[in-house]
Amino acid sequence: MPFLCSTNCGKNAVLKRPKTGGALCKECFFWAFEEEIHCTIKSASLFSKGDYVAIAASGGKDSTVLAYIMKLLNDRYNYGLKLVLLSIDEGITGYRDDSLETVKRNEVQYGIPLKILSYDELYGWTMDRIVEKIGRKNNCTFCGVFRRQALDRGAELLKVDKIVTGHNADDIAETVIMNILRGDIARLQRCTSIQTSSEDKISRCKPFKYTYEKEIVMYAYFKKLDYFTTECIYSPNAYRGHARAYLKDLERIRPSAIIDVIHSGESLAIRDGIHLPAQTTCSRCGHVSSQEICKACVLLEGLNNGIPKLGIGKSSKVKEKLKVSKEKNGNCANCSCSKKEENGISSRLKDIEELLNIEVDINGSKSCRNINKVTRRIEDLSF
Amino acid sequence: MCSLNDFEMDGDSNKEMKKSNHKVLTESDLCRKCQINNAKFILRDKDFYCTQCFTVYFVHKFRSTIGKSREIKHGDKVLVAFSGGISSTCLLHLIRQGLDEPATKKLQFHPHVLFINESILNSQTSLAKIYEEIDKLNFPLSYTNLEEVLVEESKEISIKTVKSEKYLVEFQKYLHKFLWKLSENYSELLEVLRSSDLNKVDNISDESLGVSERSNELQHILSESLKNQTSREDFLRQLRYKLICRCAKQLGFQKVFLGCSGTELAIQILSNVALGRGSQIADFVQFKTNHFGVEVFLPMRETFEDEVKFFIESQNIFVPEEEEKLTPSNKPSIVSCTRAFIHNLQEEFFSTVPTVFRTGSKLVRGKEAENENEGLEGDVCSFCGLKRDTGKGGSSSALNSIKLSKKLTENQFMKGVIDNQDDFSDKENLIDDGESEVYNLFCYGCANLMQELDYQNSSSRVQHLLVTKKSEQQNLDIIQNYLLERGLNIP
Ligand SMILES: [Zn+2]
Ligand SMILES: [Zn+2]
Ligand SMILES: [Zn+2]
Ligand SMILES: [Zn+2]
Ligand SMILES: [Zn+2]
Repeated sequence: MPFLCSTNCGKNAVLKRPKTGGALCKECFFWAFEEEIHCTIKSASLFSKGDYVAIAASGGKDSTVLAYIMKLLNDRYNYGLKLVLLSIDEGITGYRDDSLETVKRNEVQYGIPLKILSYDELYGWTMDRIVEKIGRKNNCTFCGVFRRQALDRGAELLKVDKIVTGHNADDIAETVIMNILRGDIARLQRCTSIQTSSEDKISRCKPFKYTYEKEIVMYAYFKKLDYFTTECIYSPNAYRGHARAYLKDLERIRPSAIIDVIHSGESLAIRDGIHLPAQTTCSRCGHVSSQEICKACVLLEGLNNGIPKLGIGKSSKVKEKLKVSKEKNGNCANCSCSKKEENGISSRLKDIEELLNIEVDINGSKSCRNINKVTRRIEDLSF
Repeated sequence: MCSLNDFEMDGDSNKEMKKSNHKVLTESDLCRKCQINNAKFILRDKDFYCTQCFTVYFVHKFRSTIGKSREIKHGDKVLVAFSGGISSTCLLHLIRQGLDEPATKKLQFHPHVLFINESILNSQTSLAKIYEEIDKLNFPLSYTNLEEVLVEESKEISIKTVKSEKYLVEFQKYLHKFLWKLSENYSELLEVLRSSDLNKVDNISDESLGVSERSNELQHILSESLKNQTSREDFLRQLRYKLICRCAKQLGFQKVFLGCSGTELAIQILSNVALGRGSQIADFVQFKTNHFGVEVFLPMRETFEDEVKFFIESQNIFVPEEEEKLTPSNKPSIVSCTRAFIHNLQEEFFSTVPTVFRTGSKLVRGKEAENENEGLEGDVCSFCGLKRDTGKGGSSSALNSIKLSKKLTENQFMKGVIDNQDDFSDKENLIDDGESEVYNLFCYGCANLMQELDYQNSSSRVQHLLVTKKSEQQNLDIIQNYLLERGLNIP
């Protein structure tokens, strides 16, 4: 038995909205979907007239629908925006080739100019070459870290005013949960804001913040939009996988859970007197970083110096190496800890110093205390 | 797209979850602390402890949670809520042991146990069993039925109080000590006390409170009005808080102890987020919180489930209600799903529970979420009594997006209004009309409940659960409207 569209338009409903449970016909769904995003853009004042806006385009469903919607709303409501599609080519064989083809078709279909920037251009390394170096286990670390900066770097090159990304409500809810599980309160507070606010940085915004992933898929399906379905072919972060599965379970039990989680995130604050790490910029590349040197620069240093695992995991390899050789050899020279000192500790410290671009007091470096300090520093720099 | 979110990478993350060690105890392992006894327990996934050293550690943790807060004063009367479950059983035993310590280490408050009889939810715990346990521990006990929460605010609820023989004997001694000088015939006085205050053991049964119409009504709400399991559980949780606080007030207690372990609190933190109650996390995890004008304390908050279990086992303590009682059914809910998730994750990453607990302890209600007219009673949710998180909070918010989605799903295009993009404030007014009234009365989480409960049309008993603020005119008017529709008046 067909359901009638709940707006009383007289047509038969074709879908049930996950967010509200209401049944809608195709036209009313399109309208509601588009209006909601328009309202999000308007009420959060994401753009000003004349802005040059880069749409982060991966060829996937989120960014394809985003490109389509941005074009549609820009025309319908005279936002007066100049749009550009910005794609990053990580250099993953068989992954980007197809998705980049999709983006290239989108360029023609939506009439938005496309700019493709490669990891090779930006970092001197393709993901395939990185995988050769470090194996498949940790490369999502690289591709995530590099991708984020790639967009920023690309946006700077193009001299745009804003970047829009296709992060949807599910992504944001998932991130809220992730940050609670990891105890990352600084990010927990940031992750629900609809746009980044850093004076000297190009701000990124998420017009799909309140849009359910399911609705994006439905929209793309009914609009017959041309997108490329793929998952990153490298192993996903296991921990995030748990959070994702949990969120899906929640949604099954109570469909409003996704937006409920976002509401929770929005209505939380950090208690007075809790110390938060200050967000600064990388002393090397100038990008946002909580450390003196950003993750991307550490990873790059590792790659370029033949220690590609630096900055991955807990750097336990580096730490172990230091520890093991420390115990094998003579006594610690400078402190009374009676621990053993390793041969060539000064040269090792010098390597680290160069690698991390930090100052190590070479004179005092023959003590365990100093080694520990450096080890801690390495740990801080890694995940 | 890559499975990592870009915005997760805003800067460097050094937060990584450590995998659990999955250590296994063998016969020959020695206690790390005393180096003498055999280890029986693995503390924090790494340290081997013997039973004695563990007990010292565990009791100390409990005592220091109370001690360092300086909130519990010498001679305080404290109502200890007892569910019959493992954590609250543990709490009672910790208190008993604390009271039995020599004077210098003795706990200095006077506990009184409250048990809420939930036989309405097919709970198998018999009152007689509960009484037996409380009697052994020598605490005074009060009990009431869950459905009493439906009694109008202006009336008293039915609470029974029993004092054990042992307690009475002690009480007599106490009287003896102080009264013999004052009263010539104190034995007569004792007789009066004995007959008035003591309910004999054989009096204690589920029927002693009487089966009321209220039990049918509560059953109706839980099985008919609330369609999904998540709402039922959330509703029940609010009811328990309400009833405990009401009993405390009626019995003259300003302070209440709840026996929630840190593990249970971690589950609550994440569940609260999933239920849209993120702003209330602090109200359920801080050591001291305020609910309905009563101070609620969580003295077990720094203990973990495995520690509580080991304490119970190693001391051979009987737990009346082994199963965690939560709901009348076994369908999945947000809380049960979260519990399973936390437990599984804990298996793999030992720090899960401590991390979630620590994160939750650092969070408070955001300023933006609150209403502008801070301090007014209209800011308080009419159901849970906590501050509402449904203030404007800037025009871009999850709440507004829901309101808009509902409008767009229910009405014809509304093209004419929305097209006029320059006059955006008009559209906001359009979004924010009548239907969102539920958000002017309730917090976000309770609004989810109330919409399902159809609170405007449900029985007057549900109305009794709502807090009416006589001093706040606007709020009163809103409620009055509902009440008038059904021909009722606010007294
Ligand atoms: Zn329709
Ligand atoms: Zn990846
Ligand atoms: Zn950098
Ligand atoms: Zn020991
Ligand atoms: Zn509430």
